[in-house]
Amino acid sequence: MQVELHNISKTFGRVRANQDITLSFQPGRIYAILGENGAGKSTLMKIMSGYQQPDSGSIVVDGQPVTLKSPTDAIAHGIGMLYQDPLDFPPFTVLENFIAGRPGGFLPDMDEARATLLSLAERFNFPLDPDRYLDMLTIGERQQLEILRLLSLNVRVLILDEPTTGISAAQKSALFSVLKSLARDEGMTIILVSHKLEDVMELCDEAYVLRRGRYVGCKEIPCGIGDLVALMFGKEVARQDRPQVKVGEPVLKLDNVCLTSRRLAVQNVSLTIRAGEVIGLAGLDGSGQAEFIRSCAGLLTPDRGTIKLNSLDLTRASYHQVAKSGVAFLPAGRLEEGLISGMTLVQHFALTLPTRKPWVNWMQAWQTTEQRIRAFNVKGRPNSPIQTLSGGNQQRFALSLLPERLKVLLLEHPTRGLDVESALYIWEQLLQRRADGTAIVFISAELDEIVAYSDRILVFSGGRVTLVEDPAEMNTARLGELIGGKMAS
Amino acid sequence: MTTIPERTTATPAPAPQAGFRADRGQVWRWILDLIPTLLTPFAGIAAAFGIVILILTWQGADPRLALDFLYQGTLASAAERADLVSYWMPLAIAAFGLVLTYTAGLWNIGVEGQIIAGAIGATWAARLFAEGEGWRAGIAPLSHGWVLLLSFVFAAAAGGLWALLAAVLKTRGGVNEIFGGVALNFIIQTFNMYLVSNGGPWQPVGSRATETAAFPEVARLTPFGDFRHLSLTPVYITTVAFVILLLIMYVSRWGLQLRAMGKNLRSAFLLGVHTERNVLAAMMLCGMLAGLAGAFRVMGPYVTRAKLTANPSGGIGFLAILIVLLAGMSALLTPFVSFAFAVLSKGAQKVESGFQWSDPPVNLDRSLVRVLQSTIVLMVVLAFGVRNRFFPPRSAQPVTDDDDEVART
Repeated sequence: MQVELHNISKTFGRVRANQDITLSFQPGRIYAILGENGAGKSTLMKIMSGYQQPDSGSIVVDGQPVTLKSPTDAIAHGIGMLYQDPLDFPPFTVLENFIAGRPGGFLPDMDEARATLLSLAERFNFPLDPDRYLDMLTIGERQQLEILRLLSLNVRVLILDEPTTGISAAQKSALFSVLKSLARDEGMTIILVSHKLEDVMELCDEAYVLRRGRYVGCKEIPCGIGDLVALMFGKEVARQDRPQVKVGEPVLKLDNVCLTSRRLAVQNVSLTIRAGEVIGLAGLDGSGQAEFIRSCAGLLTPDRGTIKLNSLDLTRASYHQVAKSGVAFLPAGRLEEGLISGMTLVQHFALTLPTRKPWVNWMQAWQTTEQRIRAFNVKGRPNSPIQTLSGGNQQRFALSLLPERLKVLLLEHPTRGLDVESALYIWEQLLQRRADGTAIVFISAELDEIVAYSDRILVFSGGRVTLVEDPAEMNTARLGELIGGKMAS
Repeated sequence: MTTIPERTTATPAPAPQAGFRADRGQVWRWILDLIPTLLTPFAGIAAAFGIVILILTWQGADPRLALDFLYQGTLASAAERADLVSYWMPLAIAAFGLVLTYTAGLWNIGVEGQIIAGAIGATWAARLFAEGEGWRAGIAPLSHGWVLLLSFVFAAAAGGLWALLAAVLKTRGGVNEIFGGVALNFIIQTFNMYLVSNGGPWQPVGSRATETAAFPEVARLTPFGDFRHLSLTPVYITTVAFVILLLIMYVSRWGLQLRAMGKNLRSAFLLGVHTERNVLAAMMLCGMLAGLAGAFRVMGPYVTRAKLTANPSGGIGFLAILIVLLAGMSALLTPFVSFAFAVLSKGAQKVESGFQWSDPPVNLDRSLVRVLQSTIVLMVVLAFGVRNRFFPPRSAQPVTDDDDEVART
């Protein structure tokens, strides 16, 4: 079965999740959809599996344009999706879950379903007991059940969203061999959504790469891991000439810092950040950058090691103590973390202007707001609610809220979702602060941004950290290898 | 926008003529925007009254007669008006406290229990400082003023601590304030019952009524003029509380912080607001005001009302929640909404008895008024929901233009 996507576009509010994406999937092949968080791969797969409808564009199955109104509809057309978190009913048995969603009316034929389940399980060598309750199964087994369920519904295109998260190595190799045999022997189309490059390398024949909602290219596998990373993160641009800033005294010093979060552990990071220095944090999403920057901000306490600002020990300091000592943090989700939807610009300033007085000086807040939004080119009035501003304006406004004199500025994805002009403007502002002696640490998913603006680069890969002293000598392929998990030699 | 005068700046203002016209357009839009905002609550109230009129008609009761009874029972005579005010004050002061917590996004369902805690606190103070219990323990009898003051202090402290408990459970124990509040309500209600029933420690020996003995006169509020049930002390205290509430909500930085927390706790924290401290403070202040409401309810001034009963709050905590929701957490509107609700609650009694003696008699339950009050809140909230769904206010709409292009200029 051949599936084609023609000019698929989808927007959510101001976010263009998918823009004009055209892809084609042939039977008997295994595809990877690659992209960083927010690249639009989940949206695209949801559209393909009938969970969401595109704003424009069409889906063509075997030459026939189809409209997929719901996942059931998509399954009827032979397209099934396996979600990252299994969508099943833990209080029920394997067999009951298997029956759920199968045609068969109010009183399904249990014996027939049991026979189908057992024969399928035997064929793929999945050891599933039909009478076990689902909450006693591992994620991997639940995934196997879901695959069997979709196969029993005659699905010919199987989409898997991050299927290797949370399953054992044995389950992973079993899954991969089944997927390979489904493609080779049965001519099914398998689509793997992932940002785990080693999985893609092991399993797939071809990778489609999305970036910022657009399709940016495809690669036949095997290929160099660096080439894939280059596609995902964008081409390296020539390092821009910047006014040379004299790097000053060390300000922030991390010594053997170890961090653990729900997802991973970051081991033994030591780094001295000097005044006026720009440190870029590179890596695939969830490799430890967020944990690192949050520990510098006082939002995540390290297990071991010390964090010092000049001579002040901030290892166990609270966020507010850290902020008071001159370290500012600007998180990625602007309206979730950082700005307050429903409050106006002037209210934001009234909230953050430092004063010891118990009342609000609205006149002063208004004047400051007018002056700062002019200085930062924010399009909006002092009494505009923040959520009515566009993403670029929100980001500029968030920058304008920061205290004027800072020792360290920590930023998560400072230009995510912004157009080129807005991004350049943000960087002008940041480099100006840098000239004033503020050290800047930023996370970015854009390799060119990291190479262009960083004095040094910290590459994160699964919690391991590699320091790149001279970005000028870095090319995208080398950086891609580091991000992909090869340690510096 | 237009209320702030244009300031002269060093940089020339861009095209003043165009700017002026845009401003006038904005004022016009703002007025247009205001019309649905003003009409919406009335649509909701009208719908609620419509539903209640239907119920009344279905029961064979004349709605006009019901309105007349409502008036008779609340506003017709000076005595009724005095009674109404004495009902209104605790309701209003409890609602003031809730404005603080609800603004901060803290759904303080425990306010009912905090009122009861306050009533118990005031009763304890009366027993300690105005009755034999304290004298036996060596506390000298105090003057009227001191006893009243201590009663209020005890009531506020009890209510405040009971609220603080819910707040600490939330910030340190991860117990949502709604669940904590419901549980604490049950606990304090049961404790109150223990005190006054079945030979409980505060039930007079030999009494079978589930209430304490009436407080001695020195622990009762001073009646105002000839009115048995009205004292001016709660009126003064509630007025002061209202002024403080207005200062907090409209002038202070703390009020702004509470607003920010209610809209986005995480962002408020990241913008430098001490959210945990504020949660504790807002809850405690609300509990203290609720405690005072409890004190007002048990301190008379007339002897029949100067006692701790099985149900000292009479449900005004839950009523106060409805009031604050209806007032949209506006401090300014709360006294008026609570007055309207006091009229409805107080008049319900008369509506019930009035129909019993009318010809032919109609059996109506006074709880019909609770139905009306709840329906009003539901309908008004629904009306705003419908408004926002189909006619979103302009202020909530994105600035639809090429605003990202500004960066170039």
